[in-house]
Amino acid sequence: MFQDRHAILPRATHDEAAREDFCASLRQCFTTDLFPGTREVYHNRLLPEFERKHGRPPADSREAEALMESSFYYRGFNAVGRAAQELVWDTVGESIERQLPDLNARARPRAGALGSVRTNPAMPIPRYIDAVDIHVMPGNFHTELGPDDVFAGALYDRGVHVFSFGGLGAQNEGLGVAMAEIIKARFPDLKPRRILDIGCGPGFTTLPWKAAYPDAEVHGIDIGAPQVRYAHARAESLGVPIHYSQQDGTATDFPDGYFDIVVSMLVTHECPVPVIKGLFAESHRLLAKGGVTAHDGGAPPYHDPFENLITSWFGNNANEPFAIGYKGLDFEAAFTDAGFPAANIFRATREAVYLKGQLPPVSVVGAVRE
Amino acid sequence: MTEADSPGADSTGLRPRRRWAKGQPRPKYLRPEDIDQMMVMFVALMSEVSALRDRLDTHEAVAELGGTATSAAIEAYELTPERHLARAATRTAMLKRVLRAITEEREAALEKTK
Repeated sequence: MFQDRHAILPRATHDEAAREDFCASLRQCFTTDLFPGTREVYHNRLLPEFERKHGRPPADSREAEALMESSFYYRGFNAVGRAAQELVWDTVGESIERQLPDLNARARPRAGALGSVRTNPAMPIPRYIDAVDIHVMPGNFHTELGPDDVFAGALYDRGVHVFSFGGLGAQNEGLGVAMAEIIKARFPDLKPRRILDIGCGPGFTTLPWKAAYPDAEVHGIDIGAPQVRYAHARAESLGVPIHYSQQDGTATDFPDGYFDIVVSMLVTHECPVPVIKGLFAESHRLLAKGGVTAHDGGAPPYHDPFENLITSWFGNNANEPFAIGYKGLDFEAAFTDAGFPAANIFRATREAVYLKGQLPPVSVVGAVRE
Repeated sequence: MTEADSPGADSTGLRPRRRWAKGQPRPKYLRPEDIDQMMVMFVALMSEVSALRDRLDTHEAVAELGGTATSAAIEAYELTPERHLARAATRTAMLKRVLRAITEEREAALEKTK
């Protein structure tokens, strides 16, 4: 339904809100109606025709894709989905740009804050971040439009709520809540002193960790300065003490063994494989003995070439070029290379949150520091 | 076609105006591959139509509350959860109508299996 109006959430005029609501409805139509419809067109018409002609089903996802592309349903579905993807950021971005000076001013750190924020203008932005606007979100997560800028943080906080048609919750908290539940259930005796959320974005993945572990000191880092500025102001306005800093998750400035939980959510599938391995190595360094790390953990390829194709929609259509490497990564090997004993690696699944029912549960992979 | 080819005068005694221009043929600007950009524009226009419709609905909501639909009253109107859901249903119905040319293939495929 409505997004919680914390003090830093962009305000929309009547017509801005109406256009955002259209984007949400369009995304919902695409996700819950057009997307599953591709399965009906494939299984009821295209696959039987193909099998009659060739005496076998498509051998791989390339053949499945060629078959699907013979269908106007599929071509139209793709065009609408891509247009929706672009329209969300443009619609939300126009509203935020209008009020950006005010948002930037309101986001400035104040004395007596519950948490803290650090930015690092000297930090180099890696090429994999600067070269591709993930999700076709212009400017990606890190671009700054001026001093004290929060644009990219506001864009992602508000944009994700529109994009997921509210399906992550009134505070976009669904991912963090799901991940914290996994850790709590699997490690009931864990009493973390400090928790780190890598790639925290506007902070909606970070706050649920403070709710799950009220006694822990919770930190969030992101490569984008506008993300951590916004995340700080957002957490303060919601009354939650979090320590945010602009850092690269593969090389942070925290001391060895500083954390008992190190997590990332919706981050690994946007990273090249060497960066994923770097995150795991840094997680190992940052964890105290008995500490736990957990990340989204890929997906084994489907036997069905059509399902392989359709579940790669974002990789193929929404600027997620690294998703393919992530999907195929040997996570067990990546964790042992990072220093975790093979026996300490665990797997779990969480629902695909707002895509529940449309996509299979998301794999979570983690390890315990020996 | 010449002026003489135009349909004859009607009861007013006047010929209808000619609506096409003599001279060079209409230029062809667009290429087949432009259709993808056209689709992006088309979806953006749907958003504008939907926003207009929501604004009309706000006019009605303000009137139902006994107010006058001034710009300020429209901006000040607090959308209720009920009205929000009703608008979502209206948008979904619009999308179904507009996207019918895409979805009819799926319906035909379902029909085939019955």
